[in-house]
Amino acid sequence: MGAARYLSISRISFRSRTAYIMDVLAGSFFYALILFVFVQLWTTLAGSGHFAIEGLGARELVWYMVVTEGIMLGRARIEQETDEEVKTGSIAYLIGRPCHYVLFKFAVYWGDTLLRLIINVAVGSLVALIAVGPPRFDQAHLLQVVVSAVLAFSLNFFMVMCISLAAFWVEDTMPFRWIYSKLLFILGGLFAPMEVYPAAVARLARALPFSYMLYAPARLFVQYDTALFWRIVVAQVGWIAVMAGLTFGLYGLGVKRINVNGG
Amino acid sequence: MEIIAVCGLRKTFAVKQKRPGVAGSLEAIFSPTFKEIEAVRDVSLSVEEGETVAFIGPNGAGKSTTIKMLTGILYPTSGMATVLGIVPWRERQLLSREIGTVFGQRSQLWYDLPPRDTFDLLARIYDIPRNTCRARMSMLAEMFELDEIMSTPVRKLSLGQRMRCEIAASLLHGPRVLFLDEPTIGLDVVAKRRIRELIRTMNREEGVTVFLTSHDVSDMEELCRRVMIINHGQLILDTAVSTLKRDYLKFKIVRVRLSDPIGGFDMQGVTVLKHKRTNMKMSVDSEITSIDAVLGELMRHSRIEDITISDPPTEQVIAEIYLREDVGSIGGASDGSS
Repeated sequence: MGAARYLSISRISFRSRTAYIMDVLAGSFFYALILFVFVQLWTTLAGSGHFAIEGLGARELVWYMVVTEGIMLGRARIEQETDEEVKTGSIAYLIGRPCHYVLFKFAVYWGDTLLRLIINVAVGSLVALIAVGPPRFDQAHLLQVVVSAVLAFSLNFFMVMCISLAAFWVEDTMPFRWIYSKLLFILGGLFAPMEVYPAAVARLARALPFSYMLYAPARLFVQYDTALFWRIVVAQVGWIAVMAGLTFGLYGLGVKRINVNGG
Repeated sequence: MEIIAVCGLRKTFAVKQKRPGVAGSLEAIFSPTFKEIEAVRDVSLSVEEGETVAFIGPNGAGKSTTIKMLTGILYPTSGMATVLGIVPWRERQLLSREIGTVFGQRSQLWYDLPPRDTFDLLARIYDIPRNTCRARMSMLAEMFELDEIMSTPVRKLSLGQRMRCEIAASLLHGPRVLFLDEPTIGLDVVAKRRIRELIRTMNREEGVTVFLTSHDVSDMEELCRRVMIINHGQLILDTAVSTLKRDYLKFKIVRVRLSDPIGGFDMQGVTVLKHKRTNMKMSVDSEITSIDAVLGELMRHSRIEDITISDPPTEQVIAEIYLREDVGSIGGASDGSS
């Protein structure tokens, strides 16, 4: 019964997002543009003959970016909305219901993400197919890649919820959100895989959660390795457990000191 | 049966203080100072099953803070409250199945979707069986006249239509207590009247206990039999609406626009508050003279082009209460009328 309830929330969130289909399409146009620029970069570098990253050529790198940018631009932006709910007091309606606020937001996040993701997968695949052809991907590993991507999106949710719930204590979470997105850019491996990074930076990135949101599923997609898959899944589940614990803890503390504005 | 019991409820907020200018901003970061605001001070009250109670007070009096503690959204600083025997802030989710809430300045409806979608979602959230839900939705749609707007996106509804949907949505799971926080705020006269009628009907037909906050005295007059007045966080009066009307609401504010300017207006029971050529604002003591008599007297001098009759603002009613009572003795006063 509980799962059905949250599934209904995801469904209504998905339907609500369709009202902004033009915004989603405009976002996808931006996504296609970024991909086009990187197609030029990787194919030029590959053509120069001085370019090789552990078996990853121009085709792999373009498809790598299809996945990382697809996740980056596909994830629902719940952080600003949550921040506003806490600050304006509309959280009042949501916490006074027989469902948990964090799980409610999780369901909304997935409903919202799903539409963006479907469109991004379609647009990204089209651009990459035209530019570099199909990926060298064994369909037998599709499920593993999907599992890793689902865990990546879930990890992102708990990370942004931790930041958004800081609104219980600080006046504006915008600076934290900005830093988070830049850390995803750099340590998440948005534009290039960890193999390109200097060894020390790559080690740091692997020790932090950011690379498990972008690099991990993208790397599995372009160069699958079963041992790597299990290492990634264990790390993703571990980070989700840590961040989920932190999210529920912050919520539990925050809700006791809630100060509904205008109340 | 006692539905709501509140004893010595208190809520304080620590509000950050900031001096103007860059230096003030820096000081607020490195050495913040906080001022303690006492939003609710030692409030004690009791509401019986089936009552319709108005919780009236000016802006910032502590009405919404109280209702948010009673619905479990805010934790009190001290004191105790139970709603249907449940401590709201300890068992919020359990309580949510028994109460309905409407916050006039917030919305529970999905903005881009028709109200029907929110109703369907609420049915799922509250685990309402399909058949029960269908019957309940059909009843509410008929009572609140929602059939025509059920398929229109919420963003395209008028404020009055939206509020009808908000109240109906909060009644979908059949709550025993309905908490309404400023349900008529921003509505025009016709929409306000409609909302009041609907609340009255739900109270009468389903026995729903209604606890309503408002800064509009008319909400209380037209809807409730009992009124509690709160000011500066303190309950200053708890009495029957009829008593309040008799003792404190005998004045009406009358605004008229005349076709020709008149020199002055003198009549027993009438105090002219403002007079500028053809526009007059006066306070009429209905115990001494009737509105009819005042208008009749005015029409002897000039034709009336426009007229508005309203209740005195809450602030004036409160001032009147303070004048008539010993302030020290009315904090938390209650004559237990119901």
